[in-house]
Amino acid sequence: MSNILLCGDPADPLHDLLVRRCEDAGHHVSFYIHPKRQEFAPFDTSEYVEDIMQNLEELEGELDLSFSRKYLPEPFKPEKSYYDVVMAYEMDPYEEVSHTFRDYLLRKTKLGFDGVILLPCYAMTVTLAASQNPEYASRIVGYSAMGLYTGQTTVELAVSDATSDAALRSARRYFESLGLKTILVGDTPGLILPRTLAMLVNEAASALMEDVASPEDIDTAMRLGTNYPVGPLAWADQVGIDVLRQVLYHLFSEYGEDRYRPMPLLSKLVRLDKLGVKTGEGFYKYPEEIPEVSAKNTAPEQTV
Amino acid sequence: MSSKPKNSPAIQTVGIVGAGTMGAGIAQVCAQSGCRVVLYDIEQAFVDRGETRILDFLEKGKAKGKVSDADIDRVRDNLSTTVDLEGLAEAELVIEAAPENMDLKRELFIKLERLVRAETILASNTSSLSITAIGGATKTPQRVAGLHFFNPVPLMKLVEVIQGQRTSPETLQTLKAFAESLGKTPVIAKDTPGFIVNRVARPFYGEALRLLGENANDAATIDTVLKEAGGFRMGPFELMDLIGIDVNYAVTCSVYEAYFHEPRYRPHPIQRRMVEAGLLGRKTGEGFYKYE
Repeated sequence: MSNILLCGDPADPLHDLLVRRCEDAGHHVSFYIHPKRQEFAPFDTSEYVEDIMQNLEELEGELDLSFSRKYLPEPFKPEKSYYDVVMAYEMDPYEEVSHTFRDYLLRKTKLGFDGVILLPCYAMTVTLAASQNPEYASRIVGYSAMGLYTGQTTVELAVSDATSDAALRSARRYFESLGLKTILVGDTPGLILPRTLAMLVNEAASALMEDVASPEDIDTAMRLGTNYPVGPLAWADQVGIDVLRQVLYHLFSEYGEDRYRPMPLLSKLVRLDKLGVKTGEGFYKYPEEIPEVSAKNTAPEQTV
Repeated sequence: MSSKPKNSPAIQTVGIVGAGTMGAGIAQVCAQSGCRVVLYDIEQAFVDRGETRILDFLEKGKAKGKVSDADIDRVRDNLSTTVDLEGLAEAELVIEAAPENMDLKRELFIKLERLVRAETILASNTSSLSITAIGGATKTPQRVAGLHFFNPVPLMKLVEVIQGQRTSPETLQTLKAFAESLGKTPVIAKDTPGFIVNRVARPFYGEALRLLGENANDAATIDTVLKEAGGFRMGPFELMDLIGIDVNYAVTCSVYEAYFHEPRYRPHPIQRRMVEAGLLGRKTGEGFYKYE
């Protein structure tokens, strides 16, 4: 049994899956929810207010807390004196607070002897994360759990030159305890599946944008014509269009190549909050699956 | 414009141009579904080989218990062959599956247009050439469309129905209904390079080749991750070995050229090097993997 700190968006389908598998494995789980996701928190956060106000006072001197006070920055109360695994599973879409946020989180958390920090490598390499957080560089292991959105049970792991062997071992042990297989891959932008899927989705989006075919026909063609397990547009809705767009931006900035530029259609959907299943609409609509919390965001624009 | 087909009678006679792998496969599924099929090629040896291919396929299916004697009899009854293009004059639909050469196809369509009836639909099974350009050679481009089957035709469910710039909605709807009558799942796509499948699948190979080129992962790791974490039936390198690295490279080059060198479709030097080395995949015993 280990102490696990999960940091991410409760509306993300990965949240429930990770919590369930952690509990099945007998781990103790704590949560840290991003300030801007507070309103979606699945539990009452009022009991933490006092703790949070204290933290805010301590921190305000040293960090630029650009986020609003009404979003409480720390619903997480460090219940445990140390954590074996700190796992972020949401790539932070709010770039203006991302670095401050991660730094803050890591400073407030003590890691166990073999503790590992798991960061999703959808929009950064492990090497980049290590360079941004040099004090923790030896503990940082990158991963992609993108396959989990479509029912697969294999996770990609990546390390930087600074990652310790102990941290990689801890990462492997952790995922194995959750019943997930790990494969170590090179630390390249977007690792393997996120990069491949983002580019497939970008290409499908470009065909859709040009009105080559309907979304249904594009997905059907890829499933039946070349045996893809899911059509790329439906797949994007599962993973999150925002996440895949970030993968593309990351590839674009790392390689400086035109081939990675995200299609304007992806940006349009993200700006409309049509991120896929998690917000009730992406390339397709998911009327029954709108969770209560996001229903209030989409309520004003009535859809047929 | 009405989306309903304008009283188009069910297609009863299909002419197939080209008795290669694709032509024979298309002839087989049409004959199996109950159409009369006239299979044409330029030499008797070619049509004979196509016919043998069909019957061999059916015999194998029979051995596996998937094809009945009645199926085989129906195909035998419905299938005839010819080395004279005039033999296709009675067809209500002609499906061209000749080699991928634009001049050849345009010439064929001009000839076909003259000998078939005015309402006969002329379809091409091309996977890489422009339907608009083929139709543009004819006087009646509204009845010219793409009907793109996938290999092996009897097993692959998908058919891409391609709308050229001047293809009529009636032609498209008739072809869609025809594909359904064969038990296939048709999708409709506008005539753009690679249509849907050969375009949207490009990054599956392109990114895998770039990853390999960066030398941070070997081919087996990339294949394993995409199969186990992605759920793909085959990894990109296994698939390129199966398709033929030369064939995959040719499709990549054709889409790249057709899009005026759009960088998303740019081929990778590894592909060319493999082709130059004669390492084409399974058919040569070695590609990205070795096959004993």
